[in-house]
Amino acid sequence: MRKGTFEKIAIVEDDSKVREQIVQLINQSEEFRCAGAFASAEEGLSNIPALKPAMVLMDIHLPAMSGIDCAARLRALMPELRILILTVFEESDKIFQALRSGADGYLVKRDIPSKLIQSIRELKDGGSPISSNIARKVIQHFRLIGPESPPASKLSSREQEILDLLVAGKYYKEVADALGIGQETVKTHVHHIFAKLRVRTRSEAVAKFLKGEV
Amino acid sequence: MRHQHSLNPGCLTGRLFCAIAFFCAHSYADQTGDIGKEQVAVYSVLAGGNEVSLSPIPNGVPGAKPQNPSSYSRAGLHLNLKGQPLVFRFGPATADGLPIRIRCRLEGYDEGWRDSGGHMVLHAGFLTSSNQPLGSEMREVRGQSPGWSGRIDASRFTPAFIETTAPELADRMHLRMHCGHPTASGIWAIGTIRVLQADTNGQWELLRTLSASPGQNLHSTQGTPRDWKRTDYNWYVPKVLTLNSNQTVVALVDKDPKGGGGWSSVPTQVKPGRRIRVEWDEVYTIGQSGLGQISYHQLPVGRYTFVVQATDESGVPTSPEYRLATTIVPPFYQTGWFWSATATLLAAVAIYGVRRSARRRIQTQADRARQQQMLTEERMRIARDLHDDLGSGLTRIALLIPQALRSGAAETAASIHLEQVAKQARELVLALDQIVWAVNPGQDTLEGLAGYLCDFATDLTRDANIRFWPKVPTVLPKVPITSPTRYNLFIAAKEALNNVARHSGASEVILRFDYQPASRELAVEIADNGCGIDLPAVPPGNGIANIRSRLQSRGGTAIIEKRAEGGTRVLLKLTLPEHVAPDELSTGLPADETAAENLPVTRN
Repeated sequence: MRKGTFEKIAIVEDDSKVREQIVQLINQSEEFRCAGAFASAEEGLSNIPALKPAMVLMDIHLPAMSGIDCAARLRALMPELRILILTVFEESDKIFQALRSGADGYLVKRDIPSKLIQSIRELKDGGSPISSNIARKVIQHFRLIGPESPPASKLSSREQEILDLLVAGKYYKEVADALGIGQETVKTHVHHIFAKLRVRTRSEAVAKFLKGEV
Repeated sequence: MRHQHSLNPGCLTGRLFCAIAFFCAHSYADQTGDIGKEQVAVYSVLAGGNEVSLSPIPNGVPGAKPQNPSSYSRAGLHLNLKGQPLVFRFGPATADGLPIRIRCRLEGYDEGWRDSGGHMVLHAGFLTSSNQPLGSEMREVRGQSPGWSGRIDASRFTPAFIETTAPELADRMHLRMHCGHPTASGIWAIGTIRVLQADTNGQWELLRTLSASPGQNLHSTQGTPRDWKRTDYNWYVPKVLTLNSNQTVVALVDKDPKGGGGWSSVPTQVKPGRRIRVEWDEVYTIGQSGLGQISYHQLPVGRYTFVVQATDESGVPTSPEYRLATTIVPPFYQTGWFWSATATLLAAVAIYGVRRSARRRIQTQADRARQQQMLTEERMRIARDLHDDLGSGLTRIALLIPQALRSGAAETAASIHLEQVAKQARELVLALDQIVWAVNPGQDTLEGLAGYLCDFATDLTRDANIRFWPKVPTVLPKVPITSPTRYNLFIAAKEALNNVARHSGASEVILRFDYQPASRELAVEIADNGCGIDLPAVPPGNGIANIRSRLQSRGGTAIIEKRAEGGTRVLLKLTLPEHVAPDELSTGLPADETAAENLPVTRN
């Protein structure tokens, strides 16, 4: 086992078999190591801040506190943390909620064996693919924001273009080709979009934390 | 048919009317100025177990009980019957100048005049050869014969008979007609009597006739017919009458208030054991003088007048009417006060009851609505929990399979089966999720349907390596779709997408979702670039029929056809109804109030 260059990843997953499988997959990889595996959001919240992982894999369905709430709190505590949500299928409602709360991407559980490491790598690089439906929800969300909101919480025209192409079903690469920009740029834009999604949420979460409610 | 002036108990006008009538009845009696000349009077009235004395009974009235009342009252009576009969006792007012005949009626109840009593009798008596009486058959007459019309000259004779069997030892038979009681008064006239005897064959043979003529002095009422003899009672009661038709009849004309009389016929030889029939035509009107008593049973509550009048033997009045206002007072439970009090009480109870039941009904409705909502929320919770528990378990299975495959040899038969198991597990999880979605009230919109379809298509096409092109408007109008409609639409579209994934060999699939607000028409199209469907070749009992029936069950249409540019198009069209009943939606609450995110995901 090599030291030092491994990225630390923490896991919050209540199903022990899935948890063990993920731990095994991560530890079998070359870049990543599992820093901690927890069965509930409360356990995760108690331990993860101290572990300081680069990324957390969070099941969206957890026993007591939900994965969405846990992601929100972790986001408030550790702004640089990358959070990857694990879902059973494309439940875009829940995924969108998670993205608004602080997640950076998602992965469908049945893709874990084949795509887990790939997804972790993508997320580390800044971009996690989203489905066209999630892109739709993002657009709908920004449409609901009133004109008096600060510009920081509105979409730029480039971001709108990207989202429109994503809604149409294009992959990041195709979006990049269509707009004549690099794929990395597309991913960065999407990352910014998510950040804007969370603006209000984050300030709310920070306020709560400062008040000691977290 | 009895004619009644019954008042509506409790009716205000009725009570007023009653009061006025009482005064009127009283004053009428005064205004006639005839009090004292009626010759008749009501002695007492028995009602509800109490006897009210009104007039003294003159001495000598037969049958009267001695009275010693403290006072007599002629005022109108108000009587509470208490379910017992009303009895009037009446008769001559004084001992001098007794009326021949007394009639009465209860105005408001009786149709016409009634006699208080009185009857006359015709006997057919049998004698032995030595004149020993053997027994008799008789006929009583009372009241008026059917043919009586006020005067004997104008009256019609009606038939009558006696039929009997001559007893053993009977040798002869004779007839006697007489007054039944000394107080009986009236007229009874009999035409020719025929006495018949049945022979051994049952045929009637005429034995003899008995008639007024022949005789002597038959033009006089005191004439003596050959066949009849006056009994030595009162010789002026039995009379021979000559009627207009020159018919001579024997009659009893009893004008004597205190006496009567009779006729006796000559005997007729009869044979013992034979049927004897005596037939004749007659006319009569019979009443009585003296004490009369009449009872009225179950007299309804109301205002009546009991009238008594003296008449002659023919029934022609000979005195003014004696009128006695009689009011039958209702028992307390029939009085107006009681009724109005009860009615008010009942009305109050009814209003109270109605209000309470209305309140309870509203309460029940509110409770039911709340209960319905709680049920739906509970259902959602159960569905969610089921979904989560089963979903995670099945996902685990699905995840275990690849592990099992990796650890074992590749491509064995077992590994293929394991792969299928994994696939089955995944599909079960999916199906579970779809059920949860179908009952989720937050999904009762176009957006709910479109979003879910897109998610499903994304999942499916990724597994099948098909490129997915959604053509769904970014923002859809907030139109409600009922749970059954969106579920059926979803299942139909899912069927079409599954066909694309499994059978079409396509590399791309388009999902178009279009809603026209003007026509409220929703169109969902699934088009692929695969091999194209060949409808006749498709075996029956598969998804095609299912697609069509799903749409038809919600009033829509499904078009499944080959595309000109290649591939298949499945077009599902449905017109959304204008109004959606609240109970058709999953909870009836507006969709934006119950977004999926707000549902609790709790597990204990």
